[in-house]
Amino acid sequence: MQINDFFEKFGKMFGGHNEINTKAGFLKALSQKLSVLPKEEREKSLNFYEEIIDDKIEEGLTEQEAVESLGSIDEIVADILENSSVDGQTTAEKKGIPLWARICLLVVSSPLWCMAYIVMLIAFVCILILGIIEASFALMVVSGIAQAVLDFICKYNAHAVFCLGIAIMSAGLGMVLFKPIDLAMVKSSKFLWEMTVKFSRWLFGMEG
Amino acid sequence: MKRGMIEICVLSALIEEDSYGYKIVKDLTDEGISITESTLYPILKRLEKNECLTVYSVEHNSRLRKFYRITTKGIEQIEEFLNQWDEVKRVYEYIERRYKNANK
Repeated sequence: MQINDFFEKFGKMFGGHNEINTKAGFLKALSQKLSVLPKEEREKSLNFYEEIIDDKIEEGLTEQEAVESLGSIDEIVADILENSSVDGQTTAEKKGIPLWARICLLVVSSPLWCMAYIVMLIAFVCILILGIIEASFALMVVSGIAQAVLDFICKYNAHAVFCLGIAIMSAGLGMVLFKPIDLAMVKSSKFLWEMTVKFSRWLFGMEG
Repeated sequence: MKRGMIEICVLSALIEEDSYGYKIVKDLTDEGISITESTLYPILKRLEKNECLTVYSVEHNSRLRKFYRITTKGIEQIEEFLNQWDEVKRVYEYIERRYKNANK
């Protein structure tokens, strides 16, 4: 159960799956996928879909039904982008900094932002280690019980009791530590992921 | 359906009274014309850009609802389509007549 939860959380964190059966989740996902568009155009699209969802809810659909009735978010994004004014031009070019200058700047400043990425990577690894610690408690329980059963069969009763003790202790520790570790992992990884995305967008000029 | 034709459908949905996104989709779907929100949005944007309609906001249940109003240019587009249709109908009837004569 703990391991399952752990993998589910991790999948969500790194797979970038948002809850897109709520209005807020849908709009957030849409906004992210439209980040190449100028702010004004993006907000226009978001307002249009927000209004449609509100109207559908007013007609008696539930929030989830209203969002689901819009169909696949990727198709919506494709329809918007296909008809938008963006023609491969990045916002950086619009700001007047030529591409070659931006590349030079990126290269010159690479020691700085490489360090930033390394720091973020280390932070991710720390979070991962926290998860591994929690998972290892679960493993200890399983292996402790397995060993105890084997020992009982082979009549090493003393060792069996010892293993069972370890298993129970690990289960206890795991349960006590589950909530705080879980919370810490989810909160910090979400924060870190958002920071990484923001930093990358800022660095590579995806957002004005 | 051809893109140009669905644009005319959207304009026609506005000809009697101004309307908003959800209502346009609902009105057309009720008539058996298949259109989704994701196809409607770029069409509205294009029609606005081509000055076939204008947009204004109205407060509704303490939120804003965007209404679309057809312009003279938009009405001209509908008329152009209807005139084209007359010609298409003549072409259809000519083809049909020739075909039937040949197979008598």
